[in-house]
Amino acid sequence: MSLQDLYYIVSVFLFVIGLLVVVMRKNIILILMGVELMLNAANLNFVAFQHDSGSNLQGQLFSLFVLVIAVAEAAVALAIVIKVVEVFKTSDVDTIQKLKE
Amino acid sequence: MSLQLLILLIFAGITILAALGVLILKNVLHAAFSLLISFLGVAALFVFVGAEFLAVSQLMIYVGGILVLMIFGVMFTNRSSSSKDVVSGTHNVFWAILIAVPLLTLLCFPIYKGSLDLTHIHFSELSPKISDIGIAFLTEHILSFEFVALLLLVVLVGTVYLAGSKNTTKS
Repeated sequence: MSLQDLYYIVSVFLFVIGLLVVVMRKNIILILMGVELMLNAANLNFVAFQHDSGSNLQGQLFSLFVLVIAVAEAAVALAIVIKVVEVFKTSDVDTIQKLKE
Repeated sequence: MSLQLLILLIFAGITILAALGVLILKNVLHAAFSLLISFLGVAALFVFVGAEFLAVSQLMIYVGGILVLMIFGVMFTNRSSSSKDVVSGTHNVFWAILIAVPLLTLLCFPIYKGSLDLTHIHFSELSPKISDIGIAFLTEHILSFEFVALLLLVVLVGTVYLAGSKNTTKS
């Protein structure tokens, strides 16, 4: 097993746990936390494959871009969440579905 | 097993356990702090492959920015009675297990075909210099760099408008 394989295993576990958080939790902000976990897993994967190709920094650069786009997405998502909770008066995903009509 | 490998395994274990904490903990603020520990673990894992700039950026941006924003979001969207902790349970457990088990086996399958012993892991001593990252941002990847700067401007304006004062019309 090389270092990339170990990082790949960690990133797979983080990704699947992030996906489970998105599917299983009921609070909106916890779902956003699951999305951040999945993005972190992808970042870890990119950086791990940079390790074996010398002093190449493509993985690190792409991870930096992913980081900035994750920030942008989290900011807009939280603004929308605050407005939605203001309208629906609850932050439970099941309730927000049922009050749709 | 060298000391470096042992510390790497400890950090990897902390990261995965903290991610499981986000999944399992009922209190939303406890889950947010568990996510913070997971981000710290990922930053430590970034250091081990030589991506130190990315590790520090991860600490500043994810821990100091996004996580603080999420904790504020939890506190702002707490519409229940004033002194109760925000708790939320889990649902869709059947579908979650149905998705997760095949995905996990499918993604971990290439690792099982190889060997599973940890003794031959070698750490390279190279790490890219920060000046190389700066030069790469401004020569090779300048289009992405400018687009990301524009995206941040748009997101800033949009977020301030979206989460504005209560006198704006809600429709």
